[in-house]
Amino acid sequence: MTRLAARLIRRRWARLLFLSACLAAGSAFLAAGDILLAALGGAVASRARDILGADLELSSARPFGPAVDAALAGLTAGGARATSVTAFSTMLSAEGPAGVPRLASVRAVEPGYPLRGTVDTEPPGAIARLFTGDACLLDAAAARQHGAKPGSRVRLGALTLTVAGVVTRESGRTLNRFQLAPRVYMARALVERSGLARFGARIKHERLIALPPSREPESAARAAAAGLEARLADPYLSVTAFSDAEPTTRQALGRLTNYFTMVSLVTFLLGAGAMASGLAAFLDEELETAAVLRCLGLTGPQTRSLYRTLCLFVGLQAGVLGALGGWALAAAALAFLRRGFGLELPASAGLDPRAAAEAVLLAAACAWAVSEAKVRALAGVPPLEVLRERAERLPPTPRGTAALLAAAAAAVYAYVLWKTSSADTARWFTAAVTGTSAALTLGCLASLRAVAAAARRPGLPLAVRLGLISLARRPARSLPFLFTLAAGFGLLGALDLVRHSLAKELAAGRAAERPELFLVDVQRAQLDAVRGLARRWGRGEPAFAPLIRARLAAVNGVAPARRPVDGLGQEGRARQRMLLREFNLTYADALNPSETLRAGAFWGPGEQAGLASLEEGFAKRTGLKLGDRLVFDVQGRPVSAVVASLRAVDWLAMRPNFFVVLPTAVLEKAPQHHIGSLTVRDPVRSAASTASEAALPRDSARSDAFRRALAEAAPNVSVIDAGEALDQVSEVLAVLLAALKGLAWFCVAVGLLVLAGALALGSRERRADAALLRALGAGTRLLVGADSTAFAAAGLSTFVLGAGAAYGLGALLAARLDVAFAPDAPGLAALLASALLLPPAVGLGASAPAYRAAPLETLRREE
Amino acid sequence: MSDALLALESVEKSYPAPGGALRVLHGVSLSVGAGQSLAVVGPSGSGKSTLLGLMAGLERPSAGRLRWRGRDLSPLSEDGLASWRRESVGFVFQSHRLVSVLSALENVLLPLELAGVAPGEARERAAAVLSALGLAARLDHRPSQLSGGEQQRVAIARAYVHAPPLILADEPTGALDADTASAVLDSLLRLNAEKGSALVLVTHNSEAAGRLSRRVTLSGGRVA
Repeated sequence: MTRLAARLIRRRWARLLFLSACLAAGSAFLAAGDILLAALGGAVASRARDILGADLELSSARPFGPAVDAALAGLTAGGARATSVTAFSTMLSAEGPAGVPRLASVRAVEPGYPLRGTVDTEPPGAIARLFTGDACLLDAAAARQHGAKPGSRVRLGALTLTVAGVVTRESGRTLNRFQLAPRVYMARALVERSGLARFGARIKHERLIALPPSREPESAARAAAAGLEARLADPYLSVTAFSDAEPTTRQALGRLTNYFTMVSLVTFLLGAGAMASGLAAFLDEELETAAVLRCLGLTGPQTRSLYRTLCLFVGLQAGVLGALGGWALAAAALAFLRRGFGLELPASAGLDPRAAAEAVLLAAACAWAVSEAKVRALAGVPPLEVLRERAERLPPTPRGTAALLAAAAAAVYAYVLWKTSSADTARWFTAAVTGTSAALTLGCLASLRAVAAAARRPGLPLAVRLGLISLARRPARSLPFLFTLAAGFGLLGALDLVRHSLAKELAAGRAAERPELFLVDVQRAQLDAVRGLARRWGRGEPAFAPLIRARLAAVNGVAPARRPVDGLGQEGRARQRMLLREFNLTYADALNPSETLRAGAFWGPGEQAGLASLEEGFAKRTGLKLGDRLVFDVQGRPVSAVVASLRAVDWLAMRPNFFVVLPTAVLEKAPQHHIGSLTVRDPVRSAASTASEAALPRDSARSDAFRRALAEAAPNVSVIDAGEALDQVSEVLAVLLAALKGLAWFCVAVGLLVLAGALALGSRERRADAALLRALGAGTRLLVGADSTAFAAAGLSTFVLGAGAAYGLGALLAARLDVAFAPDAPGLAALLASALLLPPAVGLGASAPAYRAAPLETLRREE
Repeated sequence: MSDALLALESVEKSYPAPGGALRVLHGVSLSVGAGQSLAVVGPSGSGKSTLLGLMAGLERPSAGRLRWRGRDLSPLSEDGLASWRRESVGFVFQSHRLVSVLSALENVLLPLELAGVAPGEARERAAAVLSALGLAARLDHRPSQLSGGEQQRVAIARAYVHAPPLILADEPTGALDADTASAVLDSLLRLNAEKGSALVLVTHNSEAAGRLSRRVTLSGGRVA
């Protein structure tokens, strides 16, 4: 049997290779995603100690008390080393009147820092000079911003510091390109003199610990972290082992995993559909061979086994091709990320045996699943029926198809859940895939009916009629490529619509009337002065809101517990992170213009009761709902509040907004500072500005002048440029969407492959039809005209269905990403123009041999 | 010879083969007059089907000439030959050779549509020929919904519907059982008698050959 199978495989190798190729593209993307993300995850893990600069970090917004010192004394007695870091954001400027204060992220360190990894500087070893005078180190971005070099002088709060060197490289830091504030190092001993460490400043106190050498440093760090956490039991204290560091990078990696898994899976599913239809056609054609083999003594089970082997071979071949392709893709992507973004990543991706095995097993299982019903049908057809030409095709297998579709939906759900650890994502993706598939199938059927109806219209030229009929009356052949192409173009269009919607939202965030500067850490006593400056230099009324730090002590009487993250899904981890972190509360007695009430009732002025209003996205992610009783620990005092309303917030209105709002009377007396936002730029001032405004410098010069005045009056207040932040977000999103669109183009390529495959599978019939029409007197023009009509109709159907799918999917994706869906019909039409052109180009190219074939020879072969 | 509808003059046909050219026809000369019926018989491999292909202009002779009403066909291009075939030849194949996605009526309409006959008239004529062959109830059936005999009768209707002066039939009953074959042959000859076309029938069946006015026997690529 094996020999017979091998012989059949040798004879049909080209056909089987094509069927494998359909699945291999998707399989390659899944494998590439696995390999790439494993490499990225590995890079984060291997550099986690360097990123943290230690094995263990204790951090708190409050200065550490004696309990921490006592706990650390125990560790250092056992051979551990410890050092302290004070980290905060503030404004840095070059010395002199021309210097413009800009946001900087300060790390005030002690000798010995970092405990792990290195900080390389130019000139080398400059970090040691931090502790010999009023000196600092700037990273390259800060040096560029302020035109500083070693020896330059910069101002930071009340300090004037000499730049001892420029940081050229920090271990691990190049993994994370997204940074709002350039980094500055200075000695911790200078913090007090800077005048920036006053109450309310957003200071992070850190204790870094390097544990004694251990054979298993990861588990040793985790054990030490757990021990410290249990011993200190302080909700305001965070203990992080290096293996759990960089939650933002890990979270970003998690999101990347989600996106790439989903788009790759769509490619895989389209390929699987293509392979399924190809295998069905292949098994149809094998009917006669199987019948002859049955007549020669092959039993039904042996026939099943023979063709099952062939189908499994297709899957295994696809898996192997996919694993190798994935390896190559991952290597190319790593090289791109290294060169294009300067990320510290492995030079090459290893062929991860787990990813390879997964690709092969998945492809083989897929090939088996999509062919099993047909293989059984093939073995079940009585051979004489075939030989007497009473059975020319395999009987339909509606039960098998229904079971296959149900199993496919379940498998998709399970796979996405496994890969993303997010039941919500898995549910959403499965619903989106099944819904889109059902809608596209109905759309394709409707489109074929429309084509059939068009073919019946009187007066059509013969070539047109024949072309339309050949498309409409071969649904088994037309449906797979129409579906695959429409899905591919639909996905491509949907991603483009999401990109357009995001760009529009981000542009709205940068719109002239939106505030572009955020002021952080404005002390109560400074509020009037800062507001005055904002009014003087800004346009319109600046918005200020109080900010009160708090922790959530209980929800409905139960304190939120920290559970090991390994046992939590993605949503569970996000929920835990949100509930346990420090909250920024505010108080107000009315909604601001960027807020909309979604549920419940917002209180009125003078409300004394403990009520809370939650932002609806926050409520959804944390699982909090109307009526929940919350207790906040506000600087040591419990504040109770019942969730009374849910609000929608337009975050891109660029004004101070908060997840949690309480009535003024409840929080007014709590220790607080303020944040504010204002508009400085003035692109339309010419007509509207007053005489006093016209005397002011414009745009960036005006913004710089405001920063200088603010630094003079309130040196502790940080200014965040929202435009710069949005630019960074735009840059990251553009790269991500470009990569996803690249994958979507592969979906289109799979569709074209299916079209070419459908033509190749039907080439015998097409040649016979062409030869027959020639025998009846048809010329080449008629044959080409008929095919052109068929492929043009297919292109038009693809365009219409693709556009419909793009709108539907785009709206779904936008809703999922909390982006306002902004349809862009002209942009979409331009993008999908290729849907009109590619099917005719590929179709006519694949049909050319039929036009050249000698008719008599073809007809004889068919006898 | 000048009255001949189609004349073959010393026609030869060779195909390239691994051991050198394989000559299938050796200097065949014969002619068919208007309204004549000619049976071409001979053993398998004698060149009967090749001869028919040459007569239909589906292949070109390696040497010799074909004349249609005295006009040499060799200068015609492929599309020129297709155009000539459209007007002048009806073809019945051993297997029905119907277009699978077209109904019986649509298959029969094809030659008329290719010839540019008005749709209404074409439909009328096609339906009439199919009815004459007992297929009035099968007009909208696809080939897969017809029996072997019915499929072959549709193919005969398609060959005759545009009233070509010459019908070429390549063992049209070869794939049918005896009873069906006899019925199909009856249909073919009856229709041929009604339409007055010239008929060239390649057949193994000597009884069928006997029902035609002339017989040519091919042996080893030569007229015996």
